[in-house]
Amino acid sequence: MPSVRRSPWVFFYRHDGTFVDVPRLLEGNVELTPLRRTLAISILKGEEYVVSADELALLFAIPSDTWISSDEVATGSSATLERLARRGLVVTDDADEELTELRRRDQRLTDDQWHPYAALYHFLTRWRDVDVEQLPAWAGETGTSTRLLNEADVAELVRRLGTPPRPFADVAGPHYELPLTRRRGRLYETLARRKTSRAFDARVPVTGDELGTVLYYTFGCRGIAEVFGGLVAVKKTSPSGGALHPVEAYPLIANVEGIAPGLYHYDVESHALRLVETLSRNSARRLARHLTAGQSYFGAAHVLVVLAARFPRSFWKYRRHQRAYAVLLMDAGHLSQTFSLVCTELGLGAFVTAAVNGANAEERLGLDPTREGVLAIVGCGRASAERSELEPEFAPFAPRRADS
Amino acid sequence: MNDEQRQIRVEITPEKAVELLRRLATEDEFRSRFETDTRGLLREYAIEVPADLMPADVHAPPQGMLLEALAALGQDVRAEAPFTPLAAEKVPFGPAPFAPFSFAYYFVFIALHRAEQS
Ligand SMILES: Cc1cc2nc3c(=O)[nH]c(=O)nc-3n(C[C@H](O)[C@H](O)[C@H](O)COP(=O)(O)O)c2cc1C
Repeated sequence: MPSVRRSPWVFFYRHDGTFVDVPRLLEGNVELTPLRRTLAISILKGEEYVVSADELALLFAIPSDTWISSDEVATGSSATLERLARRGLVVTDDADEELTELRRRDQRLTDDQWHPYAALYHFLTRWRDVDVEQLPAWAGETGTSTRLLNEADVAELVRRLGTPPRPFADVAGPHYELPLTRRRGRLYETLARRKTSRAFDARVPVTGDELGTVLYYTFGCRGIAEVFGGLVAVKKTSPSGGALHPVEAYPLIANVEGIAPGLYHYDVESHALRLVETLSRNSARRLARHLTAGQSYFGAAHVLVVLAARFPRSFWKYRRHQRAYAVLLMDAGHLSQTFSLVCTELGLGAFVTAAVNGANAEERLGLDPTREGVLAIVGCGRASAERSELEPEFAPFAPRRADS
Repeated sequence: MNDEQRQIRVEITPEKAVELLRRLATEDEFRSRFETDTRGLLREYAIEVPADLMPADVHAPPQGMLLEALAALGQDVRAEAPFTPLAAEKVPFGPAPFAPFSFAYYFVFIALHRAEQS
């Protein structure tokens, strides 16, 4: 019998809710009935499972810090034990491929110094195969043409959800008006022009020089410093917690002059692209749409850049650190703003999206998800003149007339 | 067969519960699979129905009733929407009309509203 250990990468919670009564459902009726259950959240699988009282008792009889023989706990319940193992709730030394992989992940998360709450958040909020444009069949529409909500829809929405919060916060206290000076210069103009682009003109490719500029000025290394014990701090155009810059850039190129469509890694050290996979232009676009969770307007961009954090680069220093994961997300946010500004300066349209199928992207890039995980995707291209119908027309706003 | 085997086992998670009802309410193909391969489909949602407890004929409940149940479970609905500023109907759990972050419930509410009107 194999040895077993409870995975420390499991959380439990009790859920008191309602569900449809199943016998009534089978009769074609819908009747809500209370459903109370205990759930085990498996970080190794990125899933949650209902567990019975017997399963819980078995789980709690298995320690998470020592291996024990399954004979000690599982007399007569080896099927239960196997089920718990396949759910990533216990790990075993079984040679089975799936169980071996779960054991490897368990060990990696521990060795790599993940904070348990960060791991919980990261692995339980990762999307796979989400398609936000999938039409419900009953909507009876064809294609993916957009229909914005009409007035009646919106009125109904507001009736149900209540009035939306005001755009600006009201904070009580003494009021001190600030000088408002109109600034001129490239930076201010670029800031004013920055916007999210959702319509691209495929007829004109992005040039290799433009791509090189965008990648270099966003992700390129401008300076290095050995800080301690061989740890090298990196200087880029964006800040990064601990000067670690753990966020890697993986360009997915669909339409760039002189560069074959495909999936690449941006090698910061040598300012070069390393090919991961060659693609046709159409398959690059399909992949782009899939990785952005079915947002076809982003799938049409000339280049996407998948932003993936190298967790050990951060957690080697910030060991089981409560704030380390938040810093990774902020790093990605800073890179995305710099990316957007560089693109704007070059006259390219740009975007960032958090609605991404990270699990699919990691698989496609051949990443070990416990060591490198997708946080967001940015992209750019030659913007078309027309405004996407998903964008509101922003009316100019100023708190008051500028002083000068 | 002992009593335990004859019981319906419901081990559906809160998120899957919402997904099951949403798909039953909105996807024709899913509804017809519910009618033809009931046990197989429910098993995928961790609901185990012993063969001898299956009615001879299964009919998917009316969509309006399912949408009402979904609205009642509202707190459990999770969004799968992009963070676009305007709401478009093609997005099942669409983005919000007023804010750059989406609502989880909008589609269900709109659908329910339509169901109530028809
Ligand atoms: C973190 C983050 C995630 C975003 N995700 C999406 C997305 O999934 N889809 C999308 O169309 N826009 C996305 N946006 C863009 C916002 O909708 C956009 O910034 C907002 O509407 C304001 O428009 P502007 O960028 O043109 O000023 C995202 C923006 C941020 C900062």
